Amino acid sequence: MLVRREFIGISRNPSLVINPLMFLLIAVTIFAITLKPILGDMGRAAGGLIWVLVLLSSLTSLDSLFRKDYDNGTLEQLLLGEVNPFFLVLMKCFTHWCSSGLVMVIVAPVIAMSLGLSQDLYGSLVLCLLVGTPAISLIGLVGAALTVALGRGGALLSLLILPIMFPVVIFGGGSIDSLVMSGEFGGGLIWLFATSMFALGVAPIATLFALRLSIEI
Amino acid sequence: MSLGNTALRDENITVETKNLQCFRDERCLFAPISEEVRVGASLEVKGRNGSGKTTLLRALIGLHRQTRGSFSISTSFLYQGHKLGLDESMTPVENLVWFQALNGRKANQSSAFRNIDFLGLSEKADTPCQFLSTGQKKKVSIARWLDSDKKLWLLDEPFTSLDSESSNVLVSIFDQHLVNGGSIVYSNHIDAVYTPSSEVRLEPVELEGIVEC
Repeated sequence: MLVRREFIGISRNPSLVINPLMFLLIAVTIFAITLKPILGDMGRAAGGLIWVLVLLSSLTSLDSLFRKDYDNGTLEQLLLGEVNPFFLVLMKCFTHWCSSGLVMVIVAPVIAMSLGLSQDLYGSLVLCLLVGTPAISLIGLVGAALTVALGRGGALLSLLILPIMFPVVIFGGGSIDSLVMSGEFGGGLIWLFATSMFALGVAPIATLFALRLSIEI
Repeated sequence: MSLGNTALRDENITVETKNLQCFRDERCLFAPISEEVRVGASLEVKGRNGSGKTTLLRALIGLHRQTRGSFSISTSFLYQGHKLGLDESMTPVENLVWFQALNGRKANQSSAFRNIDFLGLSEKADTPCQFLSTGQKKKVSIARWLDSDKKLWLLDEPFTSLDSESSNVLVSIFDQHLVNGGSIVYSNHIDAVYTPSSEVRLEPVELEGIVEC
């Protein structure tokens, strides 16, 4: 029931899914229109570009992650409830990933096509995003929890978490680059996986602390 | 479940405070409070706006940490702040079922509906809460208290935004809860509709700013 509520919330507010997705598609289109005529094909730039765009569009939905629950008082009830709040944080993260990361993984081939990535790399790109996007949701969760009590914390949220997201973009972009160059992932994918696992270990605990701080103000 | 920084001696006491004071930005909010609430008793926390009623309730459940003195809660509790904790996009029944799940109980739609019906909101049971008025939302939250199995209710301003008829219903709900062996601590700043077993008034302290937390 607790997980179901999150999905009910998303299904009754489809903008939570549609906004980041539209942002991503529009941003990709802008790059395709402006850079492709000059460069011909994006070649090695595509990998880094895809990751930067995925990261930025995830940001657009992060601010609202705890905002509604904080404003209507659900968040304090969550922390007072008898269900382990650690589980609740993981659940929040999972639903955020489903509504942003997973959706972007699904549209990844479209992005790759508009940026002129070679067709036989689509599968690898999807795998790469599948491994890396959970890290974005997990790290973003900490930032969202820290800024939820600050009213409109959107800008601060970006400043807080973008620097921490560097490894995701570096390893993600790097692994797509080595795909383009040599057809193999190299070490990038493993490091990306390691980043996600590290985030999975640390972020939920940090989020829990941050939420308590925000509630106790 | 127990909260607080001392153990209780008497099983019949659900909430006990000894010289409890709350601080905000190192400013002391009210003079020391020493009260105890027994099973079947209610305590009204009085005081003007800004006197620390909400902070006191939040301190008791561990959501406000800047305190001095001791306090303890010996039983499972239900807390209702100014924010009702209702999801606007969900219906009253869905909200109540969600609270059941949050408290580790099995989803029981009929019990949720029965309590919403008891508050006279059966027609709105399947309307998303965003279409309900402030008073109606308050009634949904009262239905949640009825639906829960908690013995101790900690309520912040339970009588605000209720009309006189609903206030009387709430008074009878309070009486029933106390008869059933529950206890209630609530804050109030409007004229008495309900006569509590005891009341405490939060008074500002005269000497400010020289105490340490």
